[in-house]
Amino acid sequence: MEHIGYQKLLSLLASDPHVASRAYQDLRRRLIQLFVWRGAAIPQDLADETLSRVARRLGEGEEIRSDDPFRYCCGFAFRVFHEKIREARRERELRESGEFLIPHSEAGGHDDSRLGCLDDCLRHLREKSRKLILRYYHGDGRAKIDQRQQLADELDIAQAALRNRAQRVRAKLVICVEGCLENQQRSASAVKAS
Amino acid sequence: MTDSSPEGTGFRRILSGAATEGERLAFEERILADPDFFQSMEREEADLLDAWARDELPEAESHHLEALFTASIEGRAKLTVARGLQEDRAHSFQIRPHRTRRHWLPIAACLVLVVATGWLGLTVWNQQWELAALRAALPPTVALDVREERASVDEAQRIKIPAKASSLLLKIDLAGLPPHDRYRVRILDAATVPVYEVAYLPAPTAEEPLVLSVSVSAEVLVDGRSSVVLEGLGEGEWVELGERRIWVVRGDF
Repeated sequence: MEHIGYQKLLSLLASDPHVASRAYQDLRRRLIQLFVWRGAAIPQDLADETLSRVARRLGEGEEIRSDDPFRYCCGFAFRVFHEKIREARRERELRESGEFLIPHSEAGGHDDSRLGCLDDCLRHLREKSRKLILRYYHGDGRAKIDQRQQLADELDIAQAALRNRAQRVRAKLVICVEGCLENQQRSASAVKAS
Repeated sequence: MTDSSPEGTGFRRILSGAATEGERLAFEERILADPDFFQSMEREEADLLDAWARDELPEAESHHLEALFTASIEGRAKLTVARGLQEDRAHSFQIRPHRTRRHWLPIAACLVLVVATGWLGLTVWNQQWELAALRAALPPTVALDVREERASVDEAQRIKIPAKASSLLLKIDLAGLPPHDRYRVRILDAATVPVYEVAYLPAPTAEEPLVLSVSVSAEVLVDGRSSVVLEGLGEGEWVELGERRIWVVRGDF
């Protein structure tokens, strides 16, 4: 049933399968981010469960009441997203503040291993991207502003375009650091288990 | 405070917990329905985290933000990047933001030219070596044991496709499954990527060999850093492996 539902979900997102596949990934990314902003501990799993539930319901013949399937789909995902949040609250995963908020023991500080992850990820970037992101964040105050203007001039692009480029590189870095932290966590768990 | 200060924006109110539930719901609904709005909020998030990394936020707000983001690996990665970039890692990578011209520059340029020629040769050799090593270490092959309509692979079986891979061999074990006109194989990586559509018809007989086609259209994140778009049409063949019959799809994607 869920299998049919996924097909239905994809066809609602776009008629072209390739475009639909991208739209699905984008929707999933937005859901993950919403769960992060709600303070969920495992946002990816919650996003997948949300989409899986949407697919299941579509497979069970949920009636589509909209002229705009994409919006309908997003609205549906939104409703299921809130179901998940309510469930989590019931399961006492939430603290009094109304967020998931399961503070990590390492809090917001940073340590060498985390920065090691960042350096590794910076090393894996293409040189052009690495230089761009490092120069973009180099310096303070006026020096930083001048640095960015110089960078934009060198690349012959507007400040806004430079900002978008830096944002894209930063997003790649975040994904890479995420993988690195995940590996660290897995290794630490394995060591504990042994 | 920041490049385009998020202070007082709706986004900051949401993340600091100051927004009403109604505001929050409207915000979340718009995030899902409006990709452009989502992108602009991601930029605001970056600004806010930069402000956090520079200790420019009020203490209570800073703590609230830390609690939100440290709850998940995704959030911790964002904090790490924000903090790390503020610490100016340019020194670690010998990036010199402001170039200064010197009279010895032409001589240095000649030297660089000589070194670069050698380096180029070394790089080509290195790339070839790297490609060979990748192929050896990560053969782009995966066997999926499909025992039910919705099957998944465990962590160890997850496909890892090197960015430089030019082909993918996808083996799908359909033993014991009822014929079906459509099975969906999901590839899991940094993102959950649909969709491989697999047509599975009754097994072929010796007299009438069956040729199946698998159309593939998927984007796969490789190591979370780059992406490969796989598109194509793969044809395959039945292969006997012990008591098992495996449909092997070959494709140069």
